[in-house]
Amino acid sequence: MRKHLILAAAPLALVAVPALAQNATGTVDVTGSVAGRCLFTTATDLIPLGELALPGSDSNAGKLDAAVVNAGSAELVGWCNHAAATMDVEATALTNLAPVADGFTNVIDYTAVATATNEATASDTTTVAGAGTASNLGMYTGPIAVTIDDAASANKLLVAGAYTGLIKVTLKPNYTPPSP
Amino acid sequence: MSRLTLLALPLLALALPASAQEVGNSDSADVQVTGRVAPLCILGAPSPAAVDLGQMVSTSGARVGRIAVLPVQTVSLPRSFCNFAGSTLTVAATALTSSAGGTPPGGFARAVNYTAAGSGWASSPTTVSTEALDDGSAATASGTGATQPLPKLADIAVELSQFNVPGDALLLADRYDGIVTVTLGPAAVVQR
Repeated sequence: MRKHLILAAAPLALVAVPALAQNATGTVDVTGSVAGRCLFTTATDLIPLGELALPGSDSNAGKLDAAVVNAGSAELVGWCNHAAATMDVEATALTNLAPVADGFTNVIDYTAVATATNEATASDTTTVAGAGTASNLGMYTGPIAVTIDDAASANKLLVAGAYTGLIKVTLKPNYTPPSP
Repeated sequence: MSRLTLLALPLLALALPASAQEVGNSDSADVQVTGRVAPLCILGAPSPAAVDLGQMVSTSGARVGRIAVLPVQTVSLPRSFCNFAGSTLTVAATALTSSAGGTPPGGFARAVNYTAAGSGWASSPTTVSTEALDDGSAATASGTGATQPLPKLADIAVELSQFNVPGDALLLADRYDGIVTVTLGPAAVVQR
């Protein structure tokens, strides 16, 4: 009976020996980031206004038909992936390179308005150089409508020829993810 | 510890261009706006619309029955314009001729000539003089002035003067009518 006890104790001592080694735990942190970004997926459009001068032969004939310009519209499509994103507009006047004379103009000023549905509206007038005030856009994806308003040519006669202008809409993310 | 250091260096390297990256992640879209204005000339409504010379012959004195000295007549076409460079003013004048046609008896005429000058457009007036014959034939003459090199907005004045009768003949009694046609349009293109 005594001899049996000794035999049973020996295997127990053998098992206990490895328990004295220390466990090691390794951890791997997995990190990533997404930069603030804005992108236009439809980045160009054209507003062909056609004839800009009033017809007829009365005292307004040959002057700007503001209704034609104010009816101009286009649609862009874009997105921004962060709440800090903003949108601004910079518009340049419709101009014609032909020479002018007293009583005439070859410049048509207007206000361009960009509207992200239910989110933001930004505008710029061509009478002031540079972009207009940026508007908070936030996280957004969808159409951005571009419209024209307040067309004017100082009530002067328009010089004949082709007129071109440009409306630039810019989306800025305004966000940089922190470094891990 | 040394492994931590090695990991940190690449992270710092990535962090440095972050501000530039933000700018790069902005995007712009361009909407081009185009339009056109057609070449156009408009003449203001003539004022007066009609010129009545009244009785044209002397009724007494040495020139009785012959044309009197008629005053200069001026017609204004206010705020006339062409919205393009390279336009001209053309004046076509038709002599005053009697309503009845035919060859007049000897010593008589049925036509009154005059000079029409349109000014206010180019560097010099557009001047034309009618040279109708005594029977009223060949009554119309036309002239085109110099080219206006710029778009122009101006009051055009048409002056009618130097009324005369072919051969200074006696004028047949009748009603006399003439017409002056003023045209603004593009200068003729020279074929080379």
